[in-house]
Order: sequence, then structure tokens, then C-alpha cells
Amino acid sequence: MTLRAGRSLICAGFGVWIIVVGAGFAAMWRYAMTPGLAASAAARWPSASFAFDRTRPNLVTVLHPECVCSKATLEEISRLSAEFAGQLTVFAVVDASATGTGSAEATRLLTRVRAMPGVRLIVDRDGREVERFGAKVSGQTFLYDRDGRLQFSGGVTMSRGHVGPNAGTEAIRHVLQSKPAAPTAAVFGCALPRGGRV
Amino acid sequence: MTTRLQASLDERTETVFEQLLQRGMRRADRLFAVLMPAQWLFGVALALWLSPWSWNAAERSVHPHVWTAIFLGAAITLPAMAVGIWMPGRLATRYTMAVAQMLISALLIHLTGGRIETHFHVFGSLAFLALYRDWRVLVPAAGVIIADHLLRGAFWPQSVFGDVDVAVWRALEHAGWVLFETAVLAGACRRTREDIRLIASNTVELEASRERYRASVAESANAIVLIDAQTCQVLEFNQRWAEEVTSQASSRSNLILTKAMVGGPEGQSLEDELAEVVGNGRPVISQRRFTRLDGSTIDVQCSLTPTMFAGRAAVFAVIHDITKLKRIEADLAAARDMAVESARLKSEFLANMSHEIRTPMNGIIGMTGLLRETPLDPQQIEFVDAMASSANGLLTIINDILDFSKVEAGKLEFDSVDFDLREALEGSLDLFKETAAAKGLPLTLAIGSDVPTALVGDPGRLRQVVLNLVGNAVKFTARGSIAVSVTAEQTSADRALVHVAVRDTGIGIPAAAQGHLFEAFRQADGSTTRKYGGTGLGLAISRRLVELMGGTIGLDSVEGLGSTFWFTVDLARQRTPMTAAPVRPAPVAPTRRLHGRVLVVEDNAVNQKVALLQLKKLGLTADAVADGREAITALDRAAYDLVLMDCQMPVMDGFEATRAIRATASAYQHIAIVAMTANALKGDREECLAAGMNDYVSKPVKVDDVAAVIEKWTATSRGKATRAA
Repeated sequence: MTLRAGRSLICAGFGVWIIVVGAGFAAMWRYAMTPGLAASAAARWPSASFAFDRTRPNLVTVLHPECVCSKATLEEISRLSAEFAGQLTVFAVVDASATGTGSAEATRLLTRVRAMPGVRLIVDRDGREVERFGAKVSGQTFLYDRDGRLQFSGGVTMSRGHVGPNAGTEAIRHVLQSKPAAPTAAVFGCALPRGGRV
Repeated sequence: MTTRLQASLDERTETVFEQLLQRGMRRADRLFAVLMPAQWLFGVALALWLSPWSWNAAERSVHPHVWTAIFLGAAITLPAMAVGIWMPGRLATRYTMAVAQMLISALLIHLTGGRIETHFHVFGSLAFLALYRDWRVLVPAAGVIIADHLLRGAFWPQSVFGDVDVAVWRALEHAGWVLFETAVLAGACRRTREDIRLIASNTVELEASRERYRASVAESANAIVLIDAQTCQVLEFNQRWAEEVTSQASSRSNLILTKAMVGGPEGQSLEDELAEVVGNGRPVISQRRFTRLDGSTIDVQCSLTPTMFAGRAAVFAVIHDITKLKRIEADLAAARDMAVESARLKSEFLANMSHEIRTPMNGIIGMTGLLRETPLDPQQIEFVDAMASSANGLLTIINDILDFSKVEAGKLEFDSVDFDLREALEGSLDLFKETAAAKGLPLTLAIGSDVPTALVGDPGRLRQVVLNLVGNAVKFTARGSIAVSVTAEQTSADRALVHVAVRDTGIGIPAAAQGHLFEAFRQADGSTTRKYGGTGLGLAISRRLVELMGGTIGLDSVEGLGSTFWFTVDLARQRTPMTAAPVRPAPVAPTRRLHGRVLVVEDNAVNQKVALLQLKKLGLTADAVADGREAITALDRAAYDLVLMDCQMPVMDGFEATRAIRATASAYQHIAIVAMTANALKGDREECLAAGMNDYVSKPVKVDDVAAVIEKWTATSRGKATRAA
């Protein structure tokens, strides 16, 4: 094999390798960046739901107890709760209608939520709360103003299970700061039992 | 030549530099070949731990992250591993590693959900890539990161920045930090390469130095060997050593040296000697006899220097074959011994010649003197005087030659006795008064009042110089005068530098001849010898005598007007000045009459006859015998007052006869014995006295000298006899 041929082979191999790896990354990112179904959010706080705090805006996030993406969502919720402590009432609704809360993953999730200051845990054992709010994907978050009107509906992560700055969190922050904000954002997470398969 | 050598060194430095770099790169390749699968497995484990399942409503399935970690991780890792293992050290391998490492970073960041902490993997990876010490590797690595940020920032900005509406500067900021670290690491790579180049340069220098050392050792004319100080085992050696030890072109490196082989100090083992060298820490040079493996021996000079070899105490020995040198030394020693022997033979020859010449001279001068005393007519008297003058001249020449021989041999010895300078000089001048008066030359002596006359030295040698100078003055002065003056140049309580000048009004000496007048066998010109006689040794001897007495000698002369010869001598002053003048034998008038009986012991018939006639003339009764044994017999038969004993005789010589006489218990045991010998060299007198003789007269014997010594010793004998009575 000549030197030039060897080099050509190496270059070709390198090119193939880059293409294969690039395709893998593209598939990975595609999966990560593919959002779930948008929620059929209630325009006003469901009256049959748990107690609404009329003194301040109420933030409700719905979580699948087994979904790994919930960690990233809780991370963002935790930041918002801390940032707007005393100005915001936060509810974390865990949809236990299909899987219960007996697994290790669910137990870790509930423990984490309970440990979050200013966050109230609602374990939705029959899935009715989820249904009332119209959530279909884990991580869907709803912001209602003190009058019970829906201000935002969407996810608070940039992609599946990916922490960090994202459009949803930013929109909520703007609403709370009375700034113009997008009313929705893509949500990334596992489908909820009553939300339909994705 | 130097330029070519430098170019060769530079080329070698570049080669070593590349080798060192290549070694480091291969090592880094192997490191990444291990690191890659480790990171892959870590990624899989991380995915299984963080996101094992994906849920769709109530159904679960393996999370896509797990499959991604497995398959995408494998796609990244396995090719990189392969090139790391099978293509180490190549630029393509390094590029592959750089890209793969960055892709692994991206994968891990994704699997951890974009944790900011995982982003440090990027910076760690860049640092790892710097191990290649090749800044080019950092380019694709940084390129992958920057491309990732730019591409995703362009198409999925929320995946990188969490926002869809991202300013361009954020992408640049991210890229800037990566570029910053890349630049820092590239600088570090460059400096590391400079360090490696320095190491390469030093390595090449060390190689060159070692090569010079190896060549100098290998090509050395000396045998060089490295010896284990504890076991005496030969560790390293050069070709010369092999030849020295075995007389062959090769040798054993495991040879154990022994004391019997290398010689050295007696009573000390080789191990102890080497331990001492190591202990002292200083080189030791010694000469020893070396025994080769074939049993032959050589003389060597051995330099032992302590050193270390592979962590062990060792001795570096440089062995120089000095066999030839030793042989030359032995030859030189033999030559020196031969020279010493020759000098001894020369001295012996001189002594013999002196004896052999003086013996007939004694007969000639003695008989001439006796003949002169007989009734002769004027013409016969003239003939006899001529004979006496010739004989005395010949004697002077002999004495000069003997003195000069002793001077040349450095065997001239000086007495150190108390003497009176005035008496010594007056005595010397007395000898020339008659001659000077005959030529009508006033001969005067003037001694300065400040000149100390009680001195310590050798008056005989001083007189010898004065006699030579005054003799010359008398010889070369036809009219006018001769004046001897003595002054003190310098005096102290202990010493005196005496200046003696002999001024004449003679023929003078040409200026051109004055410079070499004190050299041996030199006279003013060749005609001097013909006209005035002489050996030309007198002034040379005088100069040497004066120098040996701590002085100088010189002359001032104007041709046709006269000359002044002068000399100085440095003499000690007597601590207690002599109260009376030393006893000096008074000249004995020919008419003096002595009484007594003398035994003459002389093997030469003529000298026997001379002595008997001289003694008879002095009024003494004398008998003569031919050797020592006859002398003892004669002493047994008759009573004698004194024995005149020749030294060298057949049957029994004078020394043995004297010792025999002194050893007897007879009446003549203490008889006065006066040596009468032709042995005139220094030491002869001492030898005679050591044998038991009382005094010494040298041949040719003059009547006055004999009379003085006989009178002295017969008076002593009578004194003893009187006291005994």
C-alpha cells in the first residue's frame, strides 16, 4: 500500500467515523429535543382541585414518579421557588395513578419534593388532579395568577432531563416580574398515564 | 571540521529530540487507548444509574440514554482505541484521540443532563491532550467544541444556552474560554518541547562526551581498568589492559585480581589497599611489579582513583608500563656508578702518579741539594743550580695539576685553624725576597692598622694564593717594585672581609686578555708560556680557592705599566686573640748539627741514599732498611731516636709497620715515627697519623724540613726521657 493510498484510507475511515458518530449524536439530540404533547390546560384554576392560594400566584408542576426527566424539572422548580420565595405558591403534583409511589425512583422523587422549601407535594393517586389541569406529559407546569387565571403552560427544561436555562423558566420569571412573556413552552418528559402515549 | 562536527551534533540532537517526542506521544497514545474504554464504560454506568428506564404512561422501556451510551460510546471509543494500539505515534492517531475525547465529553455532558460540572471534562480532556506536547492536537479538539457550540447554537440554541433567542456573544464566550485554555496549553506544549530539545541537546552532548571518554580509554596507551573495590573483580577494561594482562588481544572481564598479580605494598592485601583508596577519596599513585597471566612481569606506574560503578564502590586504575623507563633508570644508575668508579680511579691514579713522580723527584732534588754542598767549580755550580731550578719547577707543575684536579673534583678541603695574618703573609713573601732582590725589586708588605690579624681559616690556602700572585709579580716584573697591601673592607665582631692587593710594575696585561685570565690553562697570550713558563693553572686555582673562602678575585692592569691583582677573603675573627705566635719550625741552616740515631725505612735505593746523606749532613747517625718488617727487626737490634718511615713499601708498608710497632710491648713502642712519603694528596697526612705516626713530611724532602721535624721529635723524646728519669 502506497503512502498516499494509506493516507486516503485513513482519511476515508476518519470521515466515515465522523459521519457515524455525528449521526449518533444527531439521533440523541433529536430524541432529547423532541417535546411531548402540549397540555389542554384549564384557563382558570380548577375549582374542584386542591386549595388555591389567593394571596399570590400559584405554580403547579405535574410529574411522573418514575420519569428521570422529573429531576431536571424539579431542579428548575426549586430555583424558581427559591428565587420567588414568599411571592409564589408552588405545588408538585405526582401522578401515582398508574405506577404508584412504591418504587425506589418514586420514593427518591417524593423525598426530594418534600425536602424542597416552599413546595407543597400533592400525590395524585387516581389521576384526577392531573386530569383537571389537563396535563399530558411529565414536567408540564402551569402558572396561575392570584385571580386564578392561567398565565403560562409548558415545560421548564430545555430538553429531556436537561437542566439549565430554558424558555419555560424564563417565561415564568417574566410573568412573575410582570414582564411580557411567552404563554407556552415545549415540554420534555415521559407521557402521563392519562395524557396518552407518545 | 568544526562546522561539520557541529552539523553532525545538530543532526543528532534533532534525531534524539524526535525520538523523545515520539516516545512521549506513543506513551500518550497508550494512555488514551486505556482511557477511552474506561470513559466508555463510565458513560454506560452513568446512563444505567441516572436514567435506566424511559416511561411512556405506565409502560417502561430501556432509556435511550443507555443505548446511546453503549452504541454511540462504542462508535466513538473503539476506533480511537484501535488507532491508539495499532498506530501509535502518528499524527492521525493524535487527531483521532483529540476528536474522540471531545466527543466523549459531549456524550457525558448529555448523559448527565447538561450538568455544569460535567463540562469540566472538556477542560480535563484538553489538559490530557497536552500530554502529546503537540499543539496541533489541540486544534481539532477545540474545533469540535467550537463547532458543536456554533452549530447547536445556530440550530438548537436552547440545547446549549437554554434559550432560543441567544446572542452571538454567548457562543463566542463559550468558544473563547476553550480557545483560552487551548492557547495556554499550546504555550505549555511549546515550552515543554523546548525543554525536551534541551534534554536532547544535553543527551547528545553526554553521548559525545561518553564517546570521547570511551575513545580516549579505548585508544589510550595506558592500560585502564575498573575494579570492584570489594571483590577486586575487573568490571571494565580497555584493549591495552587486555594486552598488558594476557599478552593477547582479549581478556576476561570477570577476572579477579590478586595481590600476587598486581604487587603493591607489602603486608597489605589488595582488598585493604583498594578500601583505603576508596576511604581516603583521593587518587593514589604508586609503582609496582605487575605479573601477567602468562607469568611474565612488567614494571608499572599505577594511578588508583576512587569512583562509583552501578552503585558500588570501585577503583579506576590507569596503569602505565614503565619497564623501559626502569631499565633506563638502571642503566643510568650503572652509568653513574661507573662515573663514580671512574672518578675514584682517577683520584687513585692521581695519588699513584703523585707518588710515583715524587719518589724520583725526591732523589733528583735531594741529590742535587747534596751535590750543591760538595766542592764544585763555578760551571758545575751553574749546572747544579739549573738542575735544582728545573726540578723545583717540575714539582710546582705537579702540585698545580694535583690542586686543579682536586678543585675540579670538588674535593678541595679547607682547614679552620687560628692563625696570624701578618705571619702568614710575611712567611709567604720571605720565600720570594731572595729572588726579588736578585732582580733588584723591592718587595714590601703593608698591613692596615684596622686589619684584624688574629683570624680563623686555612692559612695554607691563603698563602697558596698569595704565593701565586706574588710569584707572578716577581716573574713578570723586570724593574720597579712589588708591593703587597692588606686592608679591611668590612669588619664585625665575628668576621673580617680582608682585601689583599699585589701591585707590580711589570709588563702588564692587554685589556683583551684580562677577561679570561682566571680561566684554566689561560695566560695573557701563547708567548707567555714560552717566555715565562707556567701551566696557566695558578690563577684558575687561586680564583677557585678565593671563591671557596667566600671572596672574589680580580685585577687592574695597564699593558706596559704594571698590574694589580687583588682578592678578598671572608674570614672569622678569633674569639680570643693568640697571645703568642704559633710555633713555626725555624729554618735550619745547612751547618746545623743534630745528635741522635735515626732509622730510615725506604724501599727506593736512591731515596734511601738521599736520606742517609741528608741525615749524615745534619750530624745524625742513620741506618736504612727496605721495608717495615726489616724496620721492626732493626728496632729490635738497636736503639733509635726516630724512624723516618716511607708509607708504600713491599713486604710490609709503613702503616702496617707503625701499627705493629705501636702494638708491641717493647721499649721502642713509643718511638717517634715520622712519615716520609710521596703521597701528597689530602687525607694522606691524616691516614699516617691514624696509623700511629707522629708527623709527616712529604717528598721531595728538603733538608730543612727534615731537620725541623727531627729536632722537634727528638727534643720531645728527650724531654720524655728526662721526665721519665
